[in-house]
Amino acid sequence: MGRSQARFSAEHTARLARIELSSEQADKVQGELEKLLAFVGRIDELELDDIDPFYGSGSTEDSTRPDVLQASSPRSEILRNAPQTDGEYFLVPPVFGQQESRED
Amino acid sequence: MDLSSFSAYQLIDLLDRHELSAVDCVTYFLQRTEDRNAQWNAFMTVAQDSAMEQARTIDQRRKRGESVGRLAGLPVAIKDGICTAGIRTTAGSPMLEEFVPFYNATAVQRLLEADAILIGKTMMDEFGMGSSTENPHFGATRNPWDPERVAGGSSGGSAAAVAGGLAPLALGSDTGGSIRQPAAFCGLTGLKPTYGRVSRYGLIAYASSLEQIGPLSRSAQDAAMLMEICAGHDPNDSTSAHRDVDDYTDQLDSGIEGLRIGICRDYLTTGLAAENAEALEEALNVLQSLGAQLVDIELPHASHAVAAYYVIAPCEASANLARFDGVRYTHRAESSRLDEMYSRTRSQFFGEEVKRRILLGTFALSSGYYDQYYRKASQIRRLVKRDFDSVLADVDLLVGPTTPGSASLLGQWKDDPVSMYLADIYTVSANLAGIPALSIPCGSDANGLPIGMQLQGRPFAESTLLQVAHQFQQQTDFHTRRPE
Repeated sequence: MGRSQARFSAEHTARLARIELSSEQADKVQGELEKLLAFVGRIDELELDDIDPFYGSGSTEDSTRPDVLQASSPRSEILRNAPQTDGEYFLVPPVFGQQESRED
Repeated sequence: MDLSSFSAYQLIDLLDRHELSAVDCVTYFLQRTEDRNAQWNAFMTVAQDSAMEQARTIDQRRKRGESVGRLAGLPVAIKDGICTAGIRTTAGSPMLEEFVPFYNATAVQRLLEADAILIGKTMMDEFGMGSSTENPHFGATRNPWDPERVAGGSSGGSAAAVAGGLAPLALGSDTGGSIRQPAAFCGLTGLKPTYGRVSRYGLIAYASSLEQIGPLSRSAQDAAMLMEICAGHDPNDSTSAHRDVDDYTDQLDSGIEGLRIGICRDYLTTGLAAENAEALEEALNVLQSLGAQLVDIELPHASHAVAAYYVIAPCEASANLARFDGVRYTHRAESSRLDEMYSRTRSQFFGEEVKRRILLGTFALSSGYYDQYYRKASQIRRLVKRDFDSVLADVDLLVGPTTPGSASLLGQWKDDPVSMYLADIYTVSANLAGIPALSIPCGSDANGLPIGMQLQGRPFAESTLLQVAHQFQQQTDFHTRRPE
């Protein structure tokens, strides 16, 4: 428990989660998450070696449907909620290019 | 006519007998909402125009002698995390503040096919992550029994709407107690169905292996009716069960003589407010007087369930909420770089509690920590399930508290997530195990606030829970009590 708390890094985890944190926010989150990790640390109290994990109890039957074409969701409806489109595609800032602004 | 205290059953009876038109019924609830919603903040969005349009159509169909659905003309409120075509669906998040789905959740679609009227979308904790519906972005929902107190959460708006007589019936969703706890705080009947009993299609996902859509209602009878309409396999949700839906309402009138009810005595002695324990003891006496047999049982791993839950739910949330990245859903923070656009959008439009849970889940799933957190929590989940399996092989259902105390004061859990999480102690186990669980009112505390009693049953034995609840409600009047 103590070991894991020492290793939690708000900055690293925020990067993985794609959440931008200012250094002030990171300090706050660091403290909050250490408390939460101490709280959930109770899971260390039990002897669990031979226990199969249980991930949930959905239907165990395979679901199949007739192999026929079905209309998919209309493109215009899907795009309607998007912040930026060209009417056909979602538009996003460039993935490549503008390397000069990159710090990492 | 004061329709605000009528059950859904009573309203449908009036509507069917042409003693009340759908337009008059909807007008009544819209007017009452207009008068009271500013005080209680139960609704996020009131669907005034579409509700009136639906009502007019139903009245015309009735007039023409056409057949109408089972809920024809009955207003139903829908939690705002459940998609409604053409009606804004925010999930309580600034991220989805302007999101308008183009399809209905299956549960909503089935209500519409039964000719229910969607009267509005109800307030909730952001993405269902919370137990008080004190939404920092859209305001706190207040408890109609005492506006200085919370209505519970995360389906707090649905609970306040039904308790305050703004709607006779509502849909909520329950990931760790989010139907049952607000039902307990507001004096309602609230059911979390067995995992897979109701389709999750169109429920904005928080923790997919734990959550279910279910009713918040004035009686077990109303809950049974709603379940007959909403439950059942759905090709759009592969986790929904291929299994016929029971005739829940038919079974309500069967007596409960000889039923074996398990009581976990630890629950009655540890951490439970004295008044709640007393109310529960009296309720057990009522059940015993109806011929039920009380059996002491133990759930040895229940005390570890909350910790396991607060690993598993955030892990699933961290994956489910990855889709909100500024590309598809309404809001985007500007940046010239894609990766920065993602992280700024998520930073700006997710609230504090959501970010906390995403970070907790991301960490617990990250390289080197998966076994230590997610796997271990899932092993405890197995133990919690085994406890229920073994106990429910011997008894028909379990009865215990829904919450450690009655509704808390507004602001009581501010900046103290751990205390808020601990209040879920009695409810999260049913989500971990996937079993059905129901809360019904069983008393009042010294402040006149409702006290809830929880019934938990075997997988797909909703009928037993509803039957016991209905029989209890035939003997008691807690469920007919109203605020004011």
